[in-house]
Amino acid sequence: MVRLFNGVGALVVFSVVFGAYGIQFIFLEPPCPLCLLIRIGMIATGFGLVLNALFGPRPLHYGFALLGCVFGVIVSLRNIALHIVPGTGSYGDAVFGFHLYTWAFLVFMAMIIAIAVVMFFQRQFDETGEDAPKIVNVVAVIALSVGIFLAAANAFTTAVECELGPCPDNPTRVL
Amino acid sequence: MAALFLVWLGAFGAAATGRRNLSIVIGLIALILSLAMFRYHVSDNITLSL
Repeated sequence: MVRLFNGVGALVVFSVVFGAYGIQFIFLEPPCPLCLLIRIGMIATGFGLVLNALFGPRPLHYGFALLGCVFGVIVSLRNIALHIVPGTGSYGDAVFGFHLYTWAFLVFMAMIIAIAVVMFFQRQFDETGEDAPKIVNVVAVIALSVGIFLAAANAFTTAVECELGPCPDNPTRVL
Repeated sequence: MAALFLVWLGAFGAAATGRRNLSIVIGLIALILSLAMFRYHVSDNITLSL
């Protein structure tokens, strides 16, 4: 059951990156360097949860997901702080009243709380996982596949946007 | 930046082939590189550090 929760959690985190892709290509907004780093935070968080879904829950996997969340919180707070002074503008359009970096901060904080609550349940670490229902393995493989796709797709689009090195501070190319 | 995503791809690839410890090592390296990239983009001139 906990493996299923982690697989679904990874898919939820990855869906946020898909949303960012939607904004990038539908509204033709090129991602800023900090926005790309926020995506990396999402992928890192999802990676920890995918490990839980694939190999069974371990404190190491949760710790990795939490490190990804903390990285994402740091980057998104930096992005928010850049625009917090009135008159300094913003990056991109608001979605449901908040900019994407603000939404990212809220998602990372929600993930930290969710992971902390799930870690309360000590018995999950004693389960062998051998008698897990088939759906658990299916969700784990789907989450892993989505993670691989997102990492590869972001590597490709980022390489087209700013080659292999650091991205320009004020990008103009979507792809 | 694209190279960073490639390192993450390597971490997922290692996990897909069942090498859990290797995937965690690659993931930690990717996380440290991501922090270094973040530091690179934190400039004193806030108009240049979007």
